[in-house]
Amino acid sequence: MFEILKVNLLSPIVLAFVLGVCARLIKSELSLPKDLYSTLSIYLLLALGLKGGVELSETTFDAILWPALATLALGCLTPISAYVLMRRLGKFESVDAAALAAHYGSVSAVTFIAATQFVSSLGHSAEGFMPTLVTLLESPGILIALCIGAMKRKATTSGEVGVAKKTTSAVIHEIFTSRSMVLLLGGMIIGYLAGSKSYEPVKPFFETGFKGALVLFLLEMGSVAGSRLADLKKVGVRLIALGILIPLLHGALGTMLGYFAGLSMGGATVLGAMAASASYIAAPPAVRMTLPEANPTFYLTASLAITFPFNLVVGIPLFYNLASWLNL
Amino acid sequence: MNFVNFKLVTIICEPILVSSVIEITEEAGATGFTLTEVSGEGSGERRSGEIPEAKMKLEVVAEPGVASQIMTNVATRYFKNYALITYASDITVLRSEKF
Repeated sequence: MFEILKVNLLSPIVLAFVLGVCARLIKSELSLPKDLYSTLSIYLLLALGLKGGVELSETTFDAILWPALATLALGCLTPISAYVLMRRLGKFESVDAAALAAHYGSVSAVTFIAATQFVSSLGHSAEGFMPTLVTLLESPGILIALCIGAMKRKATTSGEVGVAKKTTSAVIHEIFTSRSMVLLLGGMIIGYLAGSKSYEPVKPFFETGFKGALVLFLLEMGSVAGSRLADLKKVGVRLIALGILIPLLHGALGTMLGYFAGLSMGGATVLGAMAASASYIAAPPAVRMTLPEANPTFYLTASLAITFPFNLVVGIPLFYNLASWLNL
Repeated sequence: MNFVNFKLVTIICEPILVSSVIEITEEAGATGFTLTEVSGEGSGERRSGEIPEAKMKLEVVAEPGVASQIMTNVATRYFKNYALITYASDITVLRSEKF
């Protein structure tokens, strides 16, 4: 176990993240230009979608059916468990708990990518259709949590006053047209239609530079997370504890469900990491629009400064260990 | 040259509000807008929830009546829950029929 933790801790991806955090702590002016950050995220997500699509074109429907159902079940369960835990153990107001649940119900794409890289660095590989599962896990989580929030909101306030986007369809549109969804899903469709033969010419561009780009991206993520560290004092011990407890719980559940649905060891680990992760790209704007009373400091700090680093450093190796234990 | 007095309404808000605020300006009868990305800090600073964080500045040239309509609507709908400010200044325009 400690060997794996050490391998993970000393990987360039994790070290780049740590450098980003340190740069922020020593008040360095380092930060990636905003456009480069966007470009890198487009590259990473599209590369992942393409690769997944190509592999999907060689997968049978039967192979993906159970993992897909397991993922949907996770997508419906995680926002509810996160909400209940935040409300009961965290003693958060219902809007804040719902906002946090929307984050924990959906997926952090970078955690997913990091988990994929982690298992492949140990000589395993996750199934090619994993990006499909990301898109399946992403949407129900946000929607269910926002619905809980909207119901609680109606009970206390005059309903729609002061909300940026009023209709559910506007929120659904927002989620399905978010950059990560379009790129992952679009990339998969391109890869699926193109197949491995026509993917061959563009493969070097998308695969050779992938890990390097991820290191750069994590450097910026570190700096973003570092800038939130000061907020840890504001959010209190309960949120910090839950920011670790919830990923442990969801991650273990995801890994086990993945294993029983027939995923490989690598696949189960990655599904675990996906379930454990908290979104910070798709969820924040959706929450801001529909639950404006929820305090952004809570959900952004929880997902960026607590859960993301925890999963990156400790969570992913733990889920890998659980998966290998299940495989014995 | 025909100089006419108009109002320049400025709204600085979280990026997620932009499309909704533009709808308000259109409903009030404004014919256009200028949008710029800006950064800064204010007294009631609340993290907007966007990464990377930024604020948007929306400027609208409008007749005084339209201007106050826009400001009133923006204030009643969003002041309570969102990070934004809005103000208007007196300006002089040429070709007033354009607005």
